[in-house]
Amino acid sequence: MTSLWSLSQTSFESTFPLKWKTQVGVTTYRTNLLFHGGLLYIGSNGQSRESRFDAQDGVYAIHPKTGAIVHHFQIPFGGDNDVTGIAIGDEKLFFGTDNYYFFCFDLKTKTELWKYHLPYDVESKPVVADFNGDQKMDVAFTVQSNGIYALDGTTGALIWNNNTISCHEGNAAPRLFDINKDGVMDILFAGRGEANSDEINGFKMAHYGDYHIAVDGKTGGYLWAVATGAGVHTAPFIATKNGKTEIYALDCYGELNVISPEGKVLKKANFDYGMFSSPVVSNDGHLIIGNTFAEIGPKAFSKENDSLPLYLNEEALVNVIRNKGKTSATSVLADVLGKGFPQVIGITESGEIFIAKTDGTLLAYYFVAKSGYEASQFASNSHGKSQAHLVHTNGILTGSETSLFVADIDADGNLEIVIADLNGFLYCFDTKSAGKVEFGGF
Amino acid sequence: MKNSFFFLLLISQIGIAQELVPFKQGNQYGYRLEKSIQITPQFEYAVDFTEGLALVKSNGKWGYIDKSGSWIIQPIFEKASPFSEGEAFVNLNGKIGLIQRDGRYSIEPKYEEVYRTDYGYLLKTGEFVGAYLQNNNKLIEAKYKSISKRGEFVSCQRTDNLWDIYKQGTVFLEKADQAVKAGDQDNDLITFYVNGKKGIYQFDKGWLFEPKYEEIYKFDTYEYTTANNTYTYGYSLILKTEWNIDPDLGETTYSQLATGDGNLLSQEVFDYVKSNFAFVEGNNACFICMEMTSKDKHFIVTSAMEIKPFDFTNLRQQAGFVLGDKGDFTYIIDKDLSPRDSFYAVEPITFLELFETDYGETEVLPVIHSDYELVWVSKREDTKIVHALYDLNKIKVISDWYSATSDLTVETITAGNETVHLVNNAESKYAFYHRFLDRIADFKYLSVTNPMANFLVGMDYKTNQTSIFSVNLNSIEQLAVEHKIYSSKLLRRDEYTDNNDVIYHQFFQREFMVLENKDGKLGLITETQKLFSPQFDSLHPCDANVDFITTRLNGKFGLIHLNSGSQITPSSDIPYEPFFDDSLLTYFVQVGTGETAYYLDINGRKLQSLRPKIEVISAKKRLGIQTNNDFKPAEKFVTIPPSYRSLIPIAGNNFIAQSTTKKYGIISYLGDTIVPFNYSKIEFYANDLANPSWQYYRIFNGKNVGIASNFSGIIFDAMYTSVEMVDGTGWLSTAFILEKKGRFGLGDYSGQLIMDCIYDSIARIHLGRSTEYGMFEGKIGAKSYVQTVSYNETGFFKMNTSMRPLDLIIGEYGYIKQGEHFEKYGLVLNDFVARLSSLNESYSNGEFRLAYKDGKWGAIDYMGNTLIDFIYDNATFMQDRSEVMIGYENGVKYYIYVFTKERYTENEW
Repeated sequence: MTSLWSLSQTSFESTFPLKWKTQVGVTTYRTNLLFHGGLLYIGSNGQSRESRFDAQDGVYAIHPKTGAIVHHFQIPFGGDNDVTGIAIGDEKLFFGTDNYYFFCFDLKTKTELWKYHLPYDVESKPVVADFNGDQKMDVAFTVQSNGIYALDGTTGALIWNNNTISCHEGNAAPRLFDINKDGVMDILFAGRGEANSDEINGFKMAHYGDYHIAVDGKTGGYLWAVATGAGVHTAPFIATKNGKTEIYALDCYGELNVISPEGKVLKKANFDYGMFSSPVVSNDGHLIIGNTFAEIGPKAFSKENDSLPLYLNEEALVNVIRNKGKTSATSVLADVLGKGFPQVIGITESGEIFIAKTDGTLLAYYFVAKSGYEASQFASNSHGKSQAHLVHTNGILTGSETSLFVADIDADGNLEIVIADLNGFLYCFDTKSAGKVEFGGF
Repeated sequence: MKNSFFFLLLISQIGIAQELVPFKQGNQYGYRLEKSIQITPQFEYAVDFTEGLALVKSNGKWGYIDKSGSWIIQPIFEKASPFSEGEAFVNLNGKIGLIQRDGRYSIEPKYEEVYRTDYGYLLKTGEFVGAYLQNNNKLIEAKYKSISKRGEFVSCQRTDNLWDIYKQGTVFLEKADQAVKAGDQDNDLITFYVNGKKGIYQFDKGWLFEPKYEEIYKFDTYEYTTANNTYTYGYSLILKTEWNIDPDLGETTYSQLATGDGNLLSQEVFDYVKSNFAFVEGNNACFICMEMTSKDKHFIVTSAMEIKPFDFTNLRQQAGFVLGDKGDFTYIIDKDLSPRDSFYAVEPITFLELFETDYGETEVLPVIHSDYELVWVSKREDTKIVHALYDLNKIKVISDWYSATSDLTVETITAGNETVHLVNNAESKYAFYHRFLDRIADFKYLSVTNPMANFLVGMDYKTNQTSIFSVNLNSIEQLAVEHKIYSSKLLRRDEYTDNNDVIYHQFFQREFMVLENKDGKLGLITETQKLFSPQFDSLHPCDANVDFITTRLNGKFGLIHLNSGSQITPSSDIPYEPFFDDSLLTYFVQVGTGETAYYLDINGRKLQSLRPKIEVISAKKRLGIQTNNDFKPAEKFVTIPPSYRSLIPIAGNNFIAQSTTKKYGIISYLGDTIVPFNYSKIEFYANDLANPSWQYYRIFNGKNVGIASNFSGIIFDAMYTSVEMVDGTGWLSTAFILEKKGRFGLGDYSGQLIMDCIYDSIARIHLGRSTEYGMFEGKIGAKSYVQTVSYNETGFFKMNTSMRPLDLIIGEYGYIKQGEHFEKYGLVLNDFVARLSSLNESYSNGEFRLAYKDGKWGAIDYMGNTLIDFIYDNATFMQDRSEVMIGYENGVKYYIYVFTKERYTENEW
């Protein structure tokens, strides 16, 4: 058991000095930050998710060096204009709102190019690709309790819409991958349809009707669907290594399906409940889900019978950093400590920030919220053996649902860590590291 | 490709409802239907039609048009939202309102902020808030500091910090002391406080009790019926409470009483020194009987909710009875309120008990046991006060009268699992008083001992004879009167080492008492209460088997079986050695001969040979079995014709056989199939933990494995990845951990699946104390599930399953992570995690346990019965108050009497 007490006596800010902070409003675990054209972009739920004429709703473009709001993209009319996820393509800003609309703004002129009326909210970030072959970027997104849409990025016209399955709460962000190798990106997302079983499995139904789904980017037609045991609030991770691609798809009850591009379930594993952090696969073969770390190398999965997928076996080490707060934010991978290898950086809703190796070995732990608290980490493999310990410090933040964003945004040669805090402020912290970023943000 | 694309685009467009959609031409917006312009571009901004109207901007203002382009709501608003559910938000002159499609306002635009809530909208203007209740279309004026909703009530905090309570949009109570919160509601009854007075409102019916009471207590009663309903509770309505100048009197309460339907029992206001108590039946308090005085008249409220005159004062409870004073006397009052005997004084019995202090020292402390039925009674005899023991159950004096209570001391012992009181009089003689029986022995015993669990032995001081009493629940029986009594206990210890703790199983423990009469002859009483009167010259434990005693009489040897009480009368010149063979039958060998003498049953009857001679025979490369009879060796008969490829003998005269199809099974020597011939391999696995003659075998079907036994056949068929034997309860109860598809389950030796194969791991929780059950922890991810099992003769009996909010379970305790260490949190017990007391390291406060279930805390008694419902977010014991728990509900701290369920806030306490 290794004690990191001596390593982490310092506060977060003494290691990562604060560069700036700016008020952007409420953000969620579905919020993403983008760095484009020298500016940071983030969507906002405004001052309150419940306010109906919230002047802070919209998308913010922020100067990376000063934190100044360069532009605030706002919806011209009233209502619940909360914005969560955003995408940028062809110098266009794409985003949906809780007011049943999808918008496209010109990044240069800052003007609205088009909008599209929807039957319900857009709760997750869109994806951009050329779906209709006109050599221009189009956009696809999911709609709560409705289907998936693809719109022409230039005109906003509907390319296709698949409404045969509900995107449920719409929290699962879609991803792009050319599954059928036709040169057009296809879309991976999650939805809820008919349950394939009425059996009870433990304390829950065996199947509520949730599926990981792939649709053809050209037509919106189904390519495949893989059943999973509970609702999905995470985005899949597409890992390609040695020319082989695997899709890591996770539901909120911790059921992980590793799916081939053809839709075959290759491997399965079960993790803890309440999974809202999206899975991330590191280049060195570890799976990171928020504060959970799993070895997923060749020996980690065992074959049972010929016809079944592999299962994560008991030799595979699974570590959990057991924070006090809930970890909803997707963890990122970057060398913020300047050690020459990427670290996993995550944050909890109660203001704990952990920095660990990809196997979960804790390197640093900070408490950045106002009230003091001692957190702990212990690792548990399938035999339940544990190793433990912890650190403590005070700080100025509250906590976050939003994934951290790590990049050199101000071109000073070092990475910055950007945190969208639950207190409605965006913080930028400096690092002394010119290290690489493997996965910089959700 | 491109054409097909447009075709597909067209396909995807077909079927979409024909709707006007906004489009931009130059700097202006209009509406078109597909490519046909329906409304000429003229607007600065346009939003899609919803509910027949479209939000558009004209000359810097927003308004609404219909599909013809006509203004339905003029563009006067700085900002507006599209229509939804018949309403839209508008901003007029910087103020927000809610407008309907006909232009009428649901909410006038005079609010600065509007927030969506579970009841509709919160409307804010300046520092004040109001509400729009969507269900009722009612508006609450923005004149409040805050608004909350609980159930059907909306509570609005006034500027004077009192609360206006709204029901269905209308104020029904003004200036309440507090908002409606969780805990105020009991089914359809809601508690309110106004001007510090408490009232109870019955939803949809009105006030049950208007808020004019200092306190309202609900107390339990027997079942009774009013005109409208049947209740098991009543109400005590406290109008005021006064503290008496004389501190001994405590407080006087002025109250009225009401039935469960709110009707007063009487208009009279009773003033009484509160003395609530309950008659207890079984373990549950069933009603409260209150003593009241009013204008010097005494009343009592019975369990049937009747007020009766009652002359007795100072009512107090003793066991299942009530004591009351009247004049100079104390009366013993029965449950039907009938006074029985009366005495000058009645005092509870004080026993001396040993306590272990926090420092491990032993301290003797006097303890008044309120639940014992023996009390001291006193009466005047001439000028003296004399005392005697009185049995409340029997309602009579059970001893002589003594000049001082110290002349008679009372001790308790436990025999036959029941309490027996030993009463010692001034002459140091003992009498017995069984808890449920009358006095069963006079004062004639110099000493009384309890050498074995179900026996008492008393020595008569006059005759020096020793009497033996067998004590059971409902009887004490005198077994014998003898000269001397010896007791003895035989132990056979099986050491079972696990986890560095050495646990000794006293698996074969036998107790017996040796009796000796005046002639020196010895007799025996077994623990099964079989009496062998003194008749033997000697008795000696049998070296070969502790279940037996070797007897000797006149030089001849016999044998007594302690378990059954059977005996072989002394008739052999050589002592017997008993053995058990593989077939669990007893046979005897005379010591020194080394050969089987013969078979006898324990009664000494010779038996036919029970040990068949079994031979394997072969023919044409096939094997069979023949057997014979020991007493007629020449007679042989074939039980299994040669038909098997192989026969491997195993325990119990059985064989692992390989059939001609090369499959394996298990058969008896008589040809009975114990395990069918379905398996690719069968191999010996292990002996049963408790009974070595039971053997388990692994049965294979390819890689899949199952388990079978030589006595019961297949236990779990060959469909598992692995099967591992474990001790299910810690008392040598065989169980199996089964692995299937990487998941583990638990089964017992009878083939019952106790835990499904869904767990990442299963391990037995090693309990640090002797129990009749075992526990297993199954983990799925980081969650723990505990399965309790107990053993019976047919298998395991599955007890409760639960999920633990624990980070670690070690032995019987659960732990949570606190900083760098694990802190012991509570005792893992069935459905509950019983919280550790802050007073000491036990899991109880002596009277009750705190328990945690489904995320909430409550209290339970020692039997696991719920005393306080599981509604508290947190709970602790209260120092120095063994009947009180402290519970926190929604941030409010309560002091709760766990046995009467009364609870008080901090202020009230």
